Amino acid sequence: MHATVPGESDGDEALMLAYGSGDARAFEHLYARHKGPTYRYFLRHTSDRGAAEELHQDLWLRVVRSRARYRADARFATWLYTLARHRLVDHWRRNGGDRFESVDEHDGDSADAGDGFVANETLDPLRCAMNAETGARLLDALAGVPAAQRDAFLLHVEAGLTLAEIAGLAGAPVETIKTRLRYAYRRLRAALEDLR
Amino acid sequence: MSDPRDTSLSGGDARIDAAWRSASREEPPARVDETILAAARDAVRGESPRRIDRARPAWWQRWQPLAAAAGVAGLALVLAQRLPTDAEPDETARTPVAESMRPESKPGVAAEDAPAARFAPESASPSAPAEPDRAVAPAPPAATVETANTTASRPALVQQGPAAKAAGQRLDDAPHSPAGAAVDAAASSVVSAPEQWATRIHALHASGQLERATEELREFRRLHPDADAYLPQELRAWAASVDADPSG
Repeated sequence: MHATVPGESDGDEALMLAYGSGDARAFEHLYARHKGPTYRYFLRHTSDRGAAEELHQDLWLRVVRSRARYRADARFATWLYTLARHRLVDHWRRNGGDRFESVDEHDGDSADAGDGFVANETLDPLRCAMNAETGARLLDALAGVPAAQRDAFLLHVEAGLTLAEIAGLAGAPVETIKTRLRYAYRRLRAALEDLR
Repeated sequence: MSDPRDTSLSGGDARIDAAWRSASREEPPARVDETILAAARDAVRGESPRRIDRARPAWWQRWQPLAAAAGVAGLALVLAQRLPTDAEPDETARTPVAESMRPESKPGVAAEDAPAARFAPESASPSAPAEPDRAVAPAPPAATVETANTTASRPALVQQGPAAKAAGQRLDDAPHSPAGAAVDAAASSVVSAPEQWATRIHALHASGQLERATEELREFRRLHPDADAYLPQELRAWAASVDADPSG
């Protein structure tokens, strides 16, 4: 009976629980669903494919090892990116690199940033700028964004987490996460200004 | 103050989000996928997760260092048991005389310390007459290593021990009779082993040089407590009359 066998249509939590019970197919569905976002999360933060591959692999091996301890108290994605974030912090600690330090207080005028977070109708060119140059500019621009803001953006866009989930994961108030997102969006828009 | 769209992430900037998703499409390499999925399958089969990048060694590879160590220890034990016991330094044989008789011995050459090397009769070699004082000195009997016809090289004995000098003097004193020549011939050969020493004493005794034979026997006894056992039967009676210590 299909109801007893988790499939692609099942939620992440059900798939993870099924995997914890010994269903390897459930893990395959889960992995196929999240592998791209987790890999890109590391890739954007490290700008290094080798490091991203290692971190991605380590993350999912941790998921494998933690299968018996997983409890569906929260969304699977939140749990997954909590592990991912910890792994990233470890990586930076060992190899030097970015930090999730707060930059909210010294990254320009917050009033301006707040305005920038609102959808800007003047960016119409973006509608037709889904091309390589636009993509390259966005990627470059995000690489220059402070880690905490970049993290908030990636957790939002790549992982699909809510503000509250990002806040809980980062250990910061929701308002702080909002501010970080504003800054990040403002920088990305600025990178595409001349495409208007 | 706050924009209502701030509460909805989709309202952050939908077009930026779309542009981003269009540009950011990288996926992990297939080999990474395979590694992770294989580890996941292994885990539910009760096996520990495996990694391709840091492959775990096979069981025999994990035990290799221990096996190698055990092998080396066993080999060392076998070698230790099979080493000849006479390789130990023979302190009774390494008298100062013997040491002084090896002026050209090189420190650290282990072969020269071996018994075989110590008792090797080099004078028997063709080069011995040219370099008589280079004859390898056997331990105590080597003091007599001096050919009768190498008086030119005799000054070398100045550097040798008293026993050697005495032996050289004794040989000088020997008459050059046929019997004395036989004695000299016997003396000219490197008398190393107790058997040879006994032979030389026998020759001295047979030639009538009893005083020298007595001295030799005393020296022989001093360095070989069982010297009498090496003497021929016909000398045993005479030997029994020789005191171990003339002063005593």
